[in-house]
Amino acid sequence: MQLNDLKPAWKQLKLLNAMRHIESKEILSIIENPENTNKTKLQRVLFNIVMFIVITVFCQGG
Amino acid sequence: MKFEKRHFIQIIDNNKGTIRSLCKVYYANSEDRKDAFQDIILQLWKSFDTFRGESEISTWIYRVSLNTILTKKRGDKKSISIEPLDTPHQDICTAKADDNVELLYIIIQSLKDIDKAIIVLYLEGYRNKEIAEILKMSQTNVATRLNRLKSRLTKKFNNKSHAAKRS
Repeated sequence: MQLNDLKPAWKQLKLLNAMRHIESKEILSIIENPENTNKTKLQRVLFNIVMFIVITVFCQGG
Repeated sequence: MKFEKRHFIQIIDNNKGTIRSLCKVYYANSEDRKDAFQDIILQLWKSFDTFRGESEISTWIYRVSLNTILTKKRGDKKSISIEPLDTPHQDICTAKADDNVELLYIIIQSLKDIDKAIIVLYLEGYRNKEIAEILKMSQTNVATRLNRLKSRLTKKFNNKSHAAKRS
């Protein structure tokens, strides 16, 4: 098998990923309110940090 | 809604398969994929004014998407080191890659970030010169990396088929 044999597979992968519909609202919210996207990311990072601290504190072996 | 925004949404809708596929080959985690997708849309929108149609829309999409992902990856301190292709990669041999899409996905996952971009652009049908322009690399560098990847992958495929014949 050669690399060229995988060209149809890349096309197929793109088709599979194009099947799910994308809402205009979704794109508009990204381009009109980019700060909202950053806020969500920050919230998630903070949540992960808090969870990590909680798990570390409660799961320390005695 | 302004015509410019409607036109942009239409372009994204027509190319969502490409953008999502790129996010998928670079990020295993769905949240990371979603972040990358949003970053790409934002970068495409920011550079939409400067896009003058000198290249194909798909080339512009690839250029902005890949450069956004590669910049994001470089800046991502959390990213773990990716296993290079020349180390034994068990997945390629043992996974049930009855489907070429699955095989392609496994192979791309095993590559370094920059090599992923080169392979994807090669599979898309771009020539070395175009790949070099899109990724802002020298043509020699692209050609060397691509040849190395091709020969390694061919060797891996052959090993896999030999192993399959023996078993």
